Amino acid sequence: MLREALVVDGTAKTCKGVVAGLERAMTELEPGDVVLAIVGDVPTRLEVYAWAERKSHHVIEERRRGAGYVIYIARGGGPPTPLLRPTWGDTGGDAGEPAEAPRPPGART
Amino acid sequence: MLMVSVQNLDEAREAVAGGADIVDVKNLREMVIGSNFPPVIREVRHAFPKEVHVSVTLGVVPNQAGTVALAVYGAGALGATSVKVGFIQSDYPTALRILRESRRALDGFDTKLIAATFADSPLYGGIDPRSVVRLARESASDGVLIDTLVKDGRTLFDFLDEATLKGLVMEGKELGMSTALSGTLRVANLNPLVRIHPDIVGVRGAVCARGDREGRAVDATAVAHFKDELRQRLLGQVDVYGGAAPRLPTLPA
Repeated sequence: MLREALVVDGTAKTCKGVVAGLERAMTELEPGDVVLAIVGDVPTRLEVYAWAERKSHHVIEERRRGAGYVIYIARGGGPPTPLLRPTWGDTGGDAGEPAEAPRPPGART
Repeated sequence: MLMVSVQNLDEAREAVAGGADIVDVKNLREMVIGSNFPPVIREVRHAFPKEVHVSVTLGVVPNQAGTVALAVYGAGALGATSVKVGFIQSDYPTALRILRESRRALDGFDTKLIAATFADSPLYGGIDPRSVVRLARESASDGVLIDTLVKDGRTLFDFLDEATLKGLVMEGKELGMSTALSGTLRVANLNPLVRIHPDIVGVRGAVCARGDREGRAVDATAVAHFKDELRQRLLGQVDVYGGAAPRLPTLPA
């Protein structure tokens, strides 16, 4: 069965960041359920990957969205649940373009 | 988010014009991070929409839970976005009791409670700054701040190393808290700060005209410059990892 994914928008202007939102979201999910994290910068992207690894969750997909990324994370303990793809009202598109192969950030020193 | 300490409405306007996300109202004439007067806080709060966060510093509080709780209640009644309660010469059980009473004092308000410790507290026998996350968790505080009290040019990083700060920030985030770091921070400190990645970076001296914390006022141009330097690092336009960024795992095809 297709499920609608929870979305944690790290680009919203709040004092609490993406990891706090993901921690909260995971309490509502079953193993294998997927949450989408929208991140707008490089350190947050790295942090989400590190958090997922430490918590034994699985990053299953990443797409570019504007200058940021949409990261699909499945809760650990089960295979990923098939998702209804969200649509984004501000771009009129789908969840963005597939990200380039992950690579270290940073352009100049 | 960028938090700028201000002493009055004029400075608050400069901070917001420069792009500050949070104005932190304090009173440098009462110790170095003292509390400001209710009319000043009210004036600043009323000058900006809710999207501009207005935090209130209680600075260093006495070991008197009732007195502190009443001051925290005042911050709530003034509509502050958050109120920061920090400790110098206190022990853990006393600080915890004060924060718990502060939590109760905010019942019915939207104001967030921030537990604060000082990285330089070993200089004056204060509470261990590394206990801040535990303090916040056990008192149901909404966030944590680690700052410094000495304003002699030494920064946060002179008292706590990057790994320790990173660990505290991640622990706080995983508990659902907002995390803030402050303490004579300059542009030169932004690379480790971005690697640590707290939710909030707090400054004053770095965004005053000529970089003088107390003798000069907050300057919009300096705020905008600092924020742009921060933004460049967040977007990867300035490499904060020195070419040794953590490698991301390869995703399944």
